[in-house]
Amino acid sequence: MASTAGPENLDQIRAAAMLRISGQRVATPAVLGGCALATALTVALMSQDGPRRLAHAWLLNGWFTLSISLGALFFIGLQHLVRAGWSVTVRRVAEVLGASISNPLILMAPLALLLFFGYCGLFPWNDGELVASDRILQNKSTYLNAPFFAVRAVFYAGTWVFIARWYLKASCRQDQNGDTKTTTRLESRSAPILLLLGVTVTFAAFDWLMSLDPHWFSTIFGIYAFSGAMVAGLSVIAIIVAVMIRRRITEAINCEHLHDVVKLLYGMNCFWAYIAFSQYMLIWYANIPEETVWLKLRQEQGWDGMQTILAVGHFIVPFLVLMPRAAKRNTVVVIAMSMGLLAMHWVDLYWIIYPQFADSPAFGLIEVATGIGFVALFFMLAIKMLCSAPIIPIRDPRLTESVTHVVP
Amino acid sequence: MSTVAPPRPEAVPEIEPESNGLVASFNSVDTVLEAVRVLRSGGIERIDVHSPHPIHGLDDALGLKGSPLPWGAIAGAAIGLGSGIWMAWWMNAVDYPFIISGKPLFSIIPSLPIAFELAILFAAFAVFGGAIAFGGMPKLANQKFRIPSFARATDDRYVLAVDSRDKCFDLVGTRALLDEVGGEGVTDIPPVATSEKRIPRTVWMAAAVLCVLALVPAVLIAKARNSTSTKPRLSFVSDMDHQPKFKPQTTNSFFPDGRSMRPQVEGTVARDDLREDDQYYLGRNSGHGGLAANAAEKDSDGWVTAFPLTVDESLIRRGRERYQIFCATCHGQGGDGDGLVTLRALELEQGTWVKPTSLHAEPIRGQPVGRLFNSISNGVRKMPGYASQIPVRDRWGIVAYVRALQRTRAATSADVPSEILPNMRELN
Ligand code: HEC
Repeated sequence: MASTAGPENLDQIRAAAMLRISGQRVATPAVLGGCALATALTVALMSQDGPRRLAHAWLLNGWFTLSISLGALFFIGLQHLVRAGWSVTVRRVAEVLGASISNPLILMAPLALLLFFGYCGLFPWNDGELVASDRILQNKSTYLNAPFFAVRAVFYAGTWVFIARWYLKASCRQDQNGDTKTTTRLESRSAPILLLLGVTVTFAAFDWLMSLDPHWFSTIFGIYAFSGAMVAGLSVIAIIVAVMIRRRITEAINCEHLHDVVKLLYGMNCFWAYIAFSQYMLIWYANIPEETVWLKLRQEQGWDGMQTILAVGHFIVPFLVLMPRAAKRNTVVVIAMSMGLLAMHWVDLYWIIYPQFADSPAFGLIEVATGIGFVALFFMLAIKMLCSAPIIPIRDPRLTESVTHVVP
Repeated sequence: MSTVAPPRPEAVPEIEPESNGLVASFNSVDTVLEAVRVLRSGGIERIDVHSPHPIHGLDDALGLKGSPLPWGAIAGAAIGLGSGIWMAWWMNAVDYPFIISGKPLFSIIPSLPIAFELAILFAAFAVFGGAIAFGGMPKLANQKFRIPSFARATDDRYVLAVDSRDKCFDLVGTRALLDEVGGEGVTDIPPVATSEKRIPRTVWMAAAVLCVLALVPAVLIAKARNSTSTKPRLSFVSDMDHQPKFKPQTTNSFFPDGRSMRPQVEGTVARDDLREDDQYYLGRNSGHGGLAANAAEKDSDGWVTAFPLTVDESLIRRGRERYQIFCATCHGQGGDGDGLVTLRALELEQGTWVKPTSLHAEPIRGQPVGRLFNSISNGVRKMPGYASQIPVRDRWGIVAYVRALQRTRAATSADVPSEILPNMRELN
């Protein structure tokens, strides 16, 4: 209410949003990513236990980049669902991140394909001999078998790509025609979309992460994966918003928006801690061998340290550092903390995936190279899309509200 | 009643300031913000703005510093967290230590939920109490409420109030200033009457009644604690008091045999009940009889001749202790069959009393250890079995001790450790 942006101001902002980042920037990450993945492949194929390690690194980094997109998709759906005005200008960033989901999905497809060649280095339930000697796996085999697994994977991927593209396309079309009906449609469909996202993410986490140990199960696991994805998605959004503010790319995105994005990030990170602790405490309390086995594995031979790292780095430090209002509005603090949270999200996934095959924490060229590869290729796509559309939804009916947004 | 009433002092009119300040109404956010800026640039600091909704930028305009309330919240949260953990520790590990399903008496993990809840609760208390205290409440009277136009501050006007205690306040000048910046209906804030500073009589009465009422539950509880009643107690959580579960030794129409205690499913073995090792659990080589072995069986029935466990000093010491508890009453400390019970029975000339066999009798000395073990477990003729009182390992300990006892009777100097031998005489 302090300063109302007049129509002229808004037109300037619109014009500025059409500025494009130079297209060359896309080539570098593409080459970098391709080389990194090739390096990882070569290194892995040269050593004896390399392929198995590569499969896990692949899954880890695939899920890592995937969860950034999923977090962004949840963010978009949520903003539409509650008809949020403040977030309109940062929504394009989220839309682009969401639509970049296709890259990690394509890269992860070989993991599912390998199942049909009898590869069981990743998912033990694909090992016919093991299943024949194991009653539990036999009972689970109606769900955990290669064809059904692949069908589900295709379903999740299709749903996500469809949703992500629809959000981005509808929003971009509105940039041209300014049709307010688009907004109404986006809002009304976001409720079923969020429902669908919730279900697919839950089952995808069951399939791709939980079934690494096919005996073990935890009903809260899907929410755990969801909360991690929210943290990852919002961290990346916060970083991009902070960088945009520092570079003064558009005055439509400023500290007020950053403040609210980081508030969401802060809340979702507390939610992550809450869920992670809930899962741990219930298993600890019930003390049933079939549940504790998963945590026992993760509390021995060097893995126990990672639990402490997660508790401190993923929760306590960001919780205290980002608590003051000033910290949430400070681009440097936000970038540092979001980077830290992304690293912690990676560690979290590492802690979920790696103990399943490695005797003790292993970190080397394979992990680094696949990490660089996946991240570079993911952002290559994101940058490309960000360059080919205005960086804010310029004809959204709530644009004025968002531009003049002030955190009370 | 002829005392002369002292002359009543003249009611001195209280010297009250003419005005406690000024209020002025504004009809837009922008004008009130502008007025605040003008007044502050004129040096006036004690300004308050009453508005129907929060105004962005007002804090800055008024020069308000950040509220200390967040620190109160964080302090409350820290106290709550600490006291939650302390409470869990003190209750479970100190005041009422009780091991539940093998968990440690105190662990941080299950303490966190209560600590978390208390952190939230205490932070909320701190904020609630702090907000009330910083708001200057409870306030018995607010003179601004006497001004009719002030009521619109909750509706459609922004009311600016200047306190007369401000050092730059002067009634005429400030009033002119307020008129100048567009304040409508500039009014004096009336002074507070002395009577309004006192707590009204009705409030005192109500408080007194509440205090008395508060005693009622305490009195009822005290009465209940000091009297007896034949009525069944009230059950507030009746589904916990009367659970739909089956108790031992009750009937149950669900099962065809009508028993609620279910017999073990055929072929199942309870934990630690497998007892596969016959030598250890029965004292005989496998293939010779089952659990219901009879002590009257012959020596030839496959009794174990060597101890099926390692015999060391701690086992024998344990055996001596158990022997003195379970056997010595009848068999005597030395095993000669002269225990206190036996002596007393003989003294009373109890005809039915069978004198316990001397453990040093030749047939017993010759018995294999397995048979001795069996005698303890299942009893022999008049001697009862002790399987239900003495665990298996302890029974073997007793056997080892009995063997040691037997050996004392035929001991030679070679059996005595060489460092003790020279002093044997003195020991005697
Ligand atoms: C209640 C008194 C009593 C207690 C206690 C008792 N016994 Fe006996 N025990 C007897 C009697 C009586 C006999 C003789 C039974 C008979 O001949 O009918 C006997 C006999 C024996 C025999 C000889 C068995 C045989 O093969 O002839 C042994 C060995 C023996 N007891 C050991 C023990 C040991 C070891 C303990 C301690 C666990 C023990 N007894 C506790 C009363 C007792």
